[in-house]
Amino acid sequence: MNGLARFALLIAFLFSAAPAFGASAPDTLADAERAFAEGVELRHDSDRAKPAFARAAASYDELWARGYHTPELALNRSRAHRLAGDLPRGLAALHEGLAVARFSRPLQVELDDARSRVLYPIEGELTTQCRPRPIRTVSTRMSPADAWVASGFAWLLACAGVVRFAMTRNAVWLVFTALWVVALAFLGALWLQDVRQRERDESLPLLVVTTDVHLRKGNATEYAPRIEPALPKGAEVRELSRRGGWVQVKLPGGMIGWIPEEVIVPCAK
Amino acid sequence: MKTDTNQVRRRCEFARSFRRAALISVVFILHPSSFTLANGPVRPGEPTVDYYKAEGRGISVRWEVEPKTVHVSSDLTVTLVVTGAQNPTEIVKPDLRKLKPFDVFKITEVPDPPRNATAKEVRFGYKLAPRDTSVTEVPALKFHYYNQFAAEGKRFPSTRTDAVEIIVTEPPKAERSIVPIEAPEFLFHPATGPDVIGRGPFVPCQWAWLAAVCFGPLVCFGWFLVWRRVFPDAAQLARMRRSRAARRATDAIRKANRMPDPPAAVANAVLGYLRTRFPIPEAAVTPSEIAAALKERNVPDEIAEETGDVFRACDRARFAPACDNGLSLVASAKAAVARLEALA
Repeated sequence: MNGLARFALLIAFLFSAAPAFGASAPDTLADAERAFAEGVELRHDSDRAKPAFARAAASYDELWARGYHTPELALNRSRAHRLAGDLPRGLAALHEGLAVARFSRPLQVELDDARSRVLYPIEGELTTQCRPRPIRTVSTRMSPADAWVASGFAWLLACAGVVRFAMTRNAVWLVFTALWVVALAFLGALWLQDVRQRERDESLPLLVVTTDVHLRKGNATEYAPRIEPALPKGAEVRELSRRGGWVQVKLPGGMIGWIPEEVIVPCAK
Repeated sequence: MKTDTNQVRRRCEFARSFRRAALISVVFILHPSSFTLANGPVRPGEPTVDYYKAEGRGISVRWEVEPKTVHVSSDLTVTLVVTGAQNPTEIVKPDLRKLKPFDVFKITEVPDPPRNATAKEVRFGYKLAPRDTSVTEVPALKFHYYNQFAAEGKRFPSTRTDAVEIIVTEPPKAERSIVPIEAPEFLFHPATGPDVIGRGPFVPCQWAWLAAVCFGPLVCFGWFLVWRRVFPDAAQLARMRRSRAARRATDAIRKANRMPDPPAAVANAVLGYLRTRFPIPEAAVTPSEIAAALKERNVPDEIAEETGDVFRACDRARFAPACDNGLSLVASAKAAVARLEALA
């Protein structure tokens, strides 16, 4: 077989294999937006609207799986899942979006709103154990790009103060420089603290509970519940280990117990 | 003591008699004959099924069913009417739940009206709910009774009700309730546009951080070089300002324009500098005296005269304002301070 024939065969193979890769990202996005729009049009009838939102959510999920990790896509995924009646997956989508853009204010607001829909118990120990703690560190308010610009600007001003002092021999400029260096150091300290806190609090994988389930003392239904009542659908827990179809989890309050694997949805980092 | 012994004995006797009574009761309850006593005597040849203790010569039974057409799982009111029984109060109500033909119904017992001994008929009520549409009738019920006047062996004849045809229809489909989705309004507005599948937020890499670190010093160094090129005197002035006295003097000269009498302020600033750096006598106040005093302090004649000229210019500006302006005065004063500072 000569080279030309081989090349033709390769081209033919590529073209024949092309459909297996599925629709392009813009096409998938268009599908998702169409399904979402259909759901919005049918919003007065939840039985008909929810399947449309579920289709939209599936398309958005596909885009996310392909590596399009943007805050806007995370927001759309979450909204589609929530409107399809799947609050836990909506929460998971928001967490995945925040892992990419922790500073995104719309994602934070939407996460707070989604959490407010979870039926946490109003009183009792479980209330303090399973209600998630809000995180308000510097990285939730400032993006890495903002920090880069701010620190670069502060550094520039500090250097400018030194130069100005060299020009005028006026000590005021040294004070000016010192102020900006202190500001820079403060920003750095905040960022360092943020990184340490994230390492401490978020090193374990996050899971969202998809249905009301008891936190048990062991990895079987024969074990007594660790706490009453059951964990509500949408509760957020951290994974410690897995064994025999069960996951050992830690509640935000520190309590540890077991829940079945089939009642959780993981949040990919 | 004796009283106590009697009490103990009495208690023991009571316990013994109680135990005996309990034993007799248990034996009575468990013995087969007790059932016979409870349910009445068993007659020879008595049927074990479909016999409900009715007695009489010509007993008849029938169903009364209302209504004849019913939906699946809806109740029919069915009444078993027993006519001609001589013992209306003793007839046992048939338990339809134990009869296989009635498995197609969900059966609910209905309380019956009180019976009296002289009643001509006995009525037993039921609620039957057909389980599906395949049910077409209320089945016949076989009913044995006891006829004491019949020949031996034929004392338990049977009769039966007729089956009653019924029509069972599908239940009407419930109207699907249309419920809107209740969610905050913002959920219905997804983000659109190319950003949805864009590149995501910018995260500076280590090279970007290095660039930010280098950018400031490079820009400032460039600025400094340009400044020195554009203002060479300014560079010299800057060197001069290493002296605190010179710095104070130049600051005072710079601010002199804001004073009510700028030439006097300039002259005072320069004089103050001279008295700090070159301890000239207090008596030297005129330009000539100042120049002479400077010469005595080994200041070159040319510089000493130029310094004296600054004071003369100040005097001219104070007493003949048209002769000089503030800017040139400030410049010449600064230059004089710079020249002297270079000597110091």
